[in-house]
Amino acid sequence: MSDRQKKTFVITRFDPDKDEVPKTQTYEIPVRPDWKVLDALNFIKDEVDGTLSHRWSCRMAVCGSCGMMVNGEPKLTCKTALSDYGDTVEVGPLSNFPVIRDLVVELEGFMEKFKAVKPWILRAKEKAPEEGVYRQSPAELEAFKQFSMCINCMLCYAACPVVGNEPDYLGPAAIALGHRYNLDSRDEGDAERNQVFREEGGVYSCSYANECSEVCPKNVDPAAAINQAKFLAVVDWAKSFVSPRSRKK
Amino acid sequence: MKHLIARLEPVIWALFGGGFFVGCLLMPAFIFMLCIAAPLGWLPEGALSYERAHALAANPIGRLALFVLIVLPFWNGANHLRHFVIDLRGIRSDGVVAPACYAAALVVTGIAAVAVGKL
Amino acid sequence: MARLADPRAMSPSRPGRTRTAPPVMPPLFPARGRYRSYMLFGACCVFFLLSSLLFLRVVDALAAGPEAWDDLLRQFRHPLYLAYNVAALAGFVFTARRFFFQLFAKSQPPRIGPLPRPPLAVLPPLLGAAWVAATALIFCILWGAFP
Repeated sequence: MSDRQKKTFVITRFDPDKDEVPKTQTYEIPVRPDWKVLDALNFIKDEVDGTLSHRWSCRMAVCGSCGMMVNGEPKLTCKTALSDYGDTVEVGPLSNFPVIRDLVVELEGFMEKFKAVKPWILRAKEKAPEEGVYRQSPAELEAFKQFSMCINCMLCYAACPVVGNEPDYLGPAAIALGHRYNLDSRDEGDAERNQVFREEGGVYSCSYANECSEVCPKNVDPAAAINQAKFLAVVDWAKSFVSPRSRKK
Repeated sequence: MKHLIARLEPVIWALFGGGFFVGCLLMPAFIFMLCIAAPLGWLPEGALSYERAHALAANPIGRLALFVLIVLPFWNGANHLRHFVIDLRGIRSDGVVAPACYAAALVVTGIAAVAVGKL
Repeated sequence: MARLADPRAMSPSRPGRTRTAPPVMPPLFPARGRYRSYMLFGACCVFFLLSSLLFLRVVDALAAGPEAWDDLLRQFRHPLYLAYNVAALAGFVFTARRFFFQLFAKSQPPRIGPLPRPPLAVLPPLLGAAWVAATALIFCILWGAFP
């Protein structure tokens, strides 16, 4: 235990059966110098207080489960070194989300927003399997690759002021993913998605705080995607006057 | 009204972006020369005398420049103010703020067109 | 404790099985961390609105005749006008810095129709150069050197 230093964790707790509103609980635990915030939470859960609830899985910034607010900022707790913080660390559930229990937030709303942008390849007519695969050049892949690196950790939703203020807003990750398919050379669904983007709560709700991109642990840069999508939705909208196309829904 | 504004968002955003561009690119120079240097007498004699200023403003390029310099930054400001209010107060007052902002921008566009026409 | 977010923020269209605690806004919003400069950027919309109206007055004075024009320049000498215009100048420069050098380049789609985007790295210096050129041109025109 000689290499262990004590740190205080102020953790937001909420039990839907007992608590009217969330409260905080303080734990003082010995931590190792190489620990991440998630290691400390797991230590508390295993050794101190088994009632603490939090989500985690891969411990290597791939699964996107362990996003929480650490000292007020959305972080992947498996990627956030404790050594970057002082003696007291505050951990809370992701802001802008309803809280189910302790550090666990409600995901269903996020899933609904995701589905709304149709994040899959849309084709006017699917190729038959015997016609072969859809070919794509490295340059065509490069056009959207960055926006496909999202791990759905929802940190961008927790950082965005518009998400908290406008409940209908699709939000950064969903728009970035929709835009990723619009840029994909194999996809033909941009008219459909642009219609979703132009609706209330679409891309024009974004006020470009750029926070989504600041907190993204995978450098997806959703703010770039949203604002490129605004641009393309304007072009698409203008084109609809020149060559009106069938408005499929 | 809400529905109409949602349908017009692409146009509003285009004007908003144009306003950023014009405002950021041209406004600092105009404000410095016209609103700070000229009244303080830092400019050479006659550089902004009425005759010269009017001649500059009244030719077709001058009229267009002034119209753009008034209208686009106002649309930018109107849309930005709407989003600033949402940031501060949430969406609840947007039903009043958004129409008010855009109506003001429409009125200013009209007044600017008349004013530039009268030069 | 952070301000409460809109109660419907990120909630599913049908309520889940358990009671949930309402969503809260990001704790640093609006006045701390990076949000502060974002909110200042938003507040600069006031300068866009007021300076636009001020230029409307300039056009109006030019249309009204020499006396109105001289009168307007005399009014601009008032300390309140000068203070506003110095503040507005700072506001526009602050806005331009964020818009040109942080936000603009990456908002351009990889291609618009057949037109590919220039490399992202050249856009901010290009915008900077355009700003210098436009400012120099306006200075020359209003200085009386040209045309």
